[in-house]
Amino acid sequence: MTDVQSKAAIFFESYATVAFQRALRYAGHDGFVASMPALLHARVDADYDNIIWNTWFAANSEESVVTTKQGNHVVVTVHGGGIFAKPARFERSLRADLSRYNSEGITGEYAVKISASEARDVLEGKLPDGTEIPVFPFDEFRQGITDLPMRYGVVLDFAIARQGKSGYGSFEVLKDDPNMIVRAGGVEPLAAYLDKARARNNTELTGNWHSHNRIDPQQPQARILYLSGNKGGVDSEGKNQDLGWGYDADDGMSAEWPAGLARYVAIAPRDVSTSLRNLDFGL
Amino acid sequence: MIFEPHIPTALQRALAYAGDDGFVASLPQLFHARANADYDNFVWNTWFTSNSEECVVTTKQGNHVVVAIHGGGILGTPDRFERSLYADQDRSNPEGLTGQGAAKITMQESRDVLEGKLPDGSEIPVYPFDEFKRGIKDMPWRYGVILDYEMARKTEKGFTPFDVLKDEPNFIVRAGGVEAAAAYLDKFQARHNTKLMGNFHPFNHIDQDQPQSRVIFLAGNKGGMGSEGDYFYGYDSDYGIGGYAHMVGMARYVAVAPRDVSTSLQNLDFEQ
Repeated sequence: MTDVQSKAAIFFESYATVAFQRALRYAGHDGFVASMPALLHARVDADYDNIIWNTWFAANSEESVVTTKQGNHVVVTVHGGGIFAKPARFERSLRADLSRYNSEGITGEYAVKISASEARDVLEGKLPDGTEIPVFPFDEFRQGITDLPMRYGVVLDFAIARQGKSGYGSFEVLKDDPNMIVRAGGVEPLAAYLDKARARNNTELTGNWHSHNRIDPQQPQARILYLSGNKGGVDSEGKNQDLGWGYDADDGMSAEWPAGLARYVAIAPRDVSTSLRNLDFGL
Repeated sequence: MIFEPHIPTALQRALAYAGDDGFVASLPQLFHARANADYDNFVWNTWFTSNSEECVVTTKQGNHVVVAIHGGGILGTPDRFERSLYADQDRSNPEGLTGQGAAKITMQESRDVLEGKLPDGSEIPVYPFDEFKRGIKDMPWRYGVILDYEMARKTEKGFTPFDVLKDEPNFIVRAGGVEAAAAYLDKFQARHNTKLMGNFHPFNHIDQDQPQSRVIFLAGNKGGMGSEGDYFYGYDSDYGIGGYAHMVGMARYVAVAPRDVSTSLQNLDFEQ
């Protein structure tokens, strides 16, 4: 008798492309690789001693800085797989000539350059893999979307994004931060997550980082979202970092380039009645 | 030239190309190649990962020192890199990466490297800096140099006049000696008649009690633009020599090996 359940698994590799490839393979057609809202949702529902709270993750979410037809700079956040929905797209940038004049590759601030057509298309919800997704203006998104799909985009004015807090801020202030609302998947999910994060160690601050103040918005570019974490949520207010703690820093949310280490979560239906996980192999 | 967006993979491919009779180029070997190449050669026009590393360790007497290894040190194998990258990155773990992205090395590795003993079983000569500075006769291509940590820390960091660099202990060790440093700096200076070159190190902002190691990157871009610090962004910056890179991400090694060109298909005519 089959017993199909949704099962999540962690995919860690020292090379992000491989981690993402393995996560996508596990997800298959019926599953998904967790976006930032999905990761936050899992944290809200989990005990603090679950691994979801005690390490960092790469999210299947990305932020692209693009220019509209009217010449306005905006940040398009896509959750659930955007321009970088395929490992091959990572590779194209990582193996490109890194000359500053090349339209491919990596920017000087380590974002991934995207093409003008990718930038135009993502504004309309058209992705390189042929998928079309809904894209919501921030003001509409903030009010709440009924039946929000798992894969969607949000357009936020670059000037507003730039003014958002980058660093450690109070939970109450961050609940109203446009960047964080978009990253979290809405006002309510953000509030639920921040409340749970605050209650963990009764802290006052958490981190949310962006690079919009030090980039050239004329260059279309994208970054992957990361969610930090460490065992116990140590030093999550950034008050006692001294020399810094690298991957072990619980510095909240940030947007980075897809190179180096990565840890994704993939979720897929599995028939637990045929799994060998709980078989007895002891002799 | 072996490029990969993942350091251990690049090193693995470079070592496979080098085989038993070749080598993966250290920083002194990359300097030597540049000093003897035209400026339009590729060696001048992009960045490289060297098969050289700087380890921060503590001597039996409790003194902190920097042990530079050229030609393959503790991080000279892909497996050793992977061990650090796949470790639990918890700050209390003696394995993994430091907060500043260096690879943590064990007490045993740090004790051994001071005596020239490497994890792959090799034994190499290790010279005190004062002796090294005077010049070593018949120096092998794989060796170590020990430099007092305070001396390394006080080395000028950033974009520095060529004449100052010629006498900087850290730079002399990186270059493979006083003469090699001078030859490289003269050639670099003459490229665009510049006054400054970059030479960076992390020694002012690390925990020296934590044994650690980093491989050294040599910067470069097409034409050697902005090499005095006027363009200091990302992989396309000609910042000179790094030394503070995180041990994750891209790598470009040069491997050198003897090949029988008479049996190579490289120049065969395949056009029908």
